[in-house]
Amino acid sequence: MPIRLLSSLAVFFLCLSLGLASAWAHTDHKEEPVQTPGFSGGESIYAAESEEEKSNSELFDSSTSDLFEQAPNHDKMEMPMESGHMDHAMKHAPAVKLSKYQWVPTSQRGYALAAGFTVLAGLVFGTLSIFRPFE
Amino acid sequence: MATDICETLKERLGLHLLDYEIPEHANSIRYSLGGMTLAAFTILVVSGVLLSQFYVPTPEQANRSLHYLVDQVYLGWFLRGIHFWAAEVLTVTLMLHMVRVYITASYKKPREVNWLIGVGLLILVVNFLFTGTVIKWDQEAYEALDHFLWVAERLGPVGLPLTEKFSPGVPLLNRIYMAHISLLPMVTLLLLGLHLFYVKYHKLSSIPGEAEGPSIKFTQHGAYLRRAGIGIFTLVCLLALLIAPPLGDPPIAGLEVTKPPWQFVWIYALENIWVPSLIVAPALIVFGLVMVPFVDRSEERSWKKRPVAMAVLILTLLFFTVLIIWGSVTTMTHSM
Repeated sequence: MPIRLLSSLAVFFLCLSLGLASAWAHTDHKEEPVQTPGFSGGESIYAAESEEEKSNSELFDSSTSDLFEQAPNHDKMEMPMESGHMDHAMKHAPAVKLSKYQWVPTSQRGYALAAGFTVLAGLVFGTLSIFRPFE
Repeated sequence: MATDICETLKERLGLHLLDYEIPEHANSIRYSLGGMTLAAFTILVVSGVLLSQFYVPTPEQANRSLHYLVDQVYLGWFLRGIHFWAAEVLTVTLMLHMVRVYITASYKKPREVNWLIGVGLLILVVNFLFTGTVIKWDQEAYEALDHFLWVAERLGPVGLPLTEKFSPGVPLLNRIYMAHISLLPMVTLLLLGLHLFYVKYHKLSSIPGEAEGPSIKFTQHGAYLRRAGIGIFTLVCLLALLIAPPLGDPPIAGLEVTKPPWQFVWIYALENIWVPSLIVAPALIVFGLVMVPFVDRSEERSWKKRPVAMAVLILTLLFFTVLIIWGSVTTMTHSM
């Protein structure tokens, strides 16, 4: 039984570490004009800004907008060889707010309930692992 | 009295049919990885049904509906986190399950068909991961779709149904969403049913090199799988509680600034070397997997006596590990 428990814990931590590793792996991008800060921790990543609230209130607006938000330069970015042209291209590069993994702040709405739910699931798992009913 | 009630229910509901004997080693992590994968898939289905209430599958509103879910809906961030991390955990358990089946040569006679069904399930999971990435409709999603369309256009008539030209009046995002929530689940459930049927029909494979041990009832294995499933669920909830999955803003056409999720970043690395590997690599991998039971036809199942098979496995795992690491740290040197 201790070996089985250790094996269970090993798989548990393998999955947890792979999940965390993938979170750190998903950070490298080529040069981009705008980057969002990662692992800020101090502020809510889901804090609704005023512009966001306005856009969310228009969620069911039936206006037919373009498929994509159009950048000032619609053409694909060229990859010029000369560095001077590269500077010119970078100045006109459209801003892209990229997504990253971030810590969930404890101030997030419903965090206590979610944490309680997780602890409850863990307790159920722990109890079943100790008593092994019907196994 | 409790025992009498249980016995009565068993008889009424036919549950006594589940009391058949199976090998005791079924109740081990090695031989329950498939069950854990099934548990993760169940979490995905349940959380996906809940998520579908809030998602709007149009290009104009898809991304906004997800931001609305995580910003405004109570515990929406947690629900989306559960769905995302269940997919991540499923990928890991699926890979481990495949490796175990390969090491124990459980694809050999008479289980070749079940291996092929498993390869089909792997292809479906890859499609789930892809369509799930696209429907969030941020920059990463757009670029994933861009690469997919590049491949589809080069497949000629075969790829035509996968492109926008096939149905100009219907946004491709809508069709991808429908595939994610209807077509793929239906085919997956069908193959899953067959997969489990053949596990039952051929019985659980023995541990190579060991004599047949004691047996247990399937209901005991069911209890073990329930516990494992709750463990998987706890892990998923913990990850969702700690780490928010990425969600960007609506995409900007014509840019290539993101990398794919780690499950696909290996092909990103290959693409850097040779762009047509987007088509060639997956085809070769599927072909290789399909051929496994037909190439390795000896009766030997012990991993110690199959050095070539083990060498192929180790080299394959190293190959993908190196590509994933390389793809994560390298930068794109071309554009589609």
